[in-house]
Amino acid sequence: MEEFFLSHRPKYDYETFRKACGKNKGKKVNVWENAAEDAERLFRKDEEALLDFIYKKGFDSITFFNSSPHRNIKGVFIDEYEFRTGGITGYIAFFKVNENWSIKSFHQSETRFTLLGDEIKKLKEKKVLK
Amino acid sequence: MKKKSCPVCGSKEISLKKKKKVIKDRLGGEETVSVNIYSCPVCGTTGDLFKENVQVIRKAYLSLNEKAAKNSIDFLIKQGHSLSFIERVLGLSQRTLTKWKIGATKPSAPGVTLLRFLEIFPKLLDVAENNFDKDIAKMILLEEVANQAVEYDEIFTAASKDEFFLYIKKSVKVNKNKSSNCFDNEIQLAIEAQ
Repeated sequence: MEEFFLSHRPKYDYETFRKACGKNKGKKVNVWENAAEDAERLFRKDEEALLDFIYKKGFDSITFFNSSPHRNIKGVFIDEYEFRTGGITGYIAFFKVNENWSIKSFHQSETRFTLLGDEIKKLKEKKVLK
Repeated sequence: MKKKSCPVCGSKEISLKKKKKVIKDRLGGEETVSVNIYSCPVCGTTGDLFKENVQVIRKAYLSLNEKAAKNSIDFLIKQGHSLSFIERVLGLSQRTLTKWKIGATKPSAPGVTLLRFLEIFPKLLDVAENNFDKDIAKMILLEEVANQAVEYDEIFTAASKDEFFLYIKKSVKVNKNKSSNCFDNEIQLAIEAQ
């Protein structure tokens, strides 16, 4: 039963995923249709360019925040990360099955922290803002 | 023909849909390409599972980039700038832009980005013409702000315009002989009015 709870530890090693994005032009990494479309809208990058960006450490920062079970594949977890690049804060989720990686989501964050949000938070901490 | 299986779960049940995809570029227009989208009903994976669309989409992006470059060059010509002037101030080899315009050579990615900036902010040419002098660049920026603000009379009254031109004059300490001069008359009038 344990695997059905959300996990605060990544299921996969991010570095292994990153390297897979660059190996043979990301042959072993599938990008789901919605993720590919969102990446094109956000970055003006096609699928191959997106994988190259991830492989070459294009994110300014990438932070794990959750791992949740895949709805359709029993025993498979999806790791979720928040990334930052320039002024953009985004979300990427991926999983691995049979040596194949899949990027399930890739989009700009709307609900989580943003740079402006962080600054507001700091001001609130300093009690400049209520 | 060998039936394809899902690379994620191995299911043979995957289906193929051919879709029309519109790729847009704000300055280059848009192109429609046909792409293959596979779906697996077993694990829910949907997308270009066999990397069949990459080349088609990349080709469309390159084509739109070239169109954007040509459109930007046409725009700058319409604004009254000669290509040789732009090439000179940007330090490009002579006839580079002409070659891009007629398609004799393909523009580089940074070249296209530069043209995109120039189409949106043509005043950057003035900055380049003044050897990227930071003080003059500030003056040009403020003049541009004033230019834009003048178009919105409801937020920029005659009195505030005078104050603004004075502010430009006082806040940017540049050699007047070097500065661009499109607002000199307004600045002079504002000083006299004071």
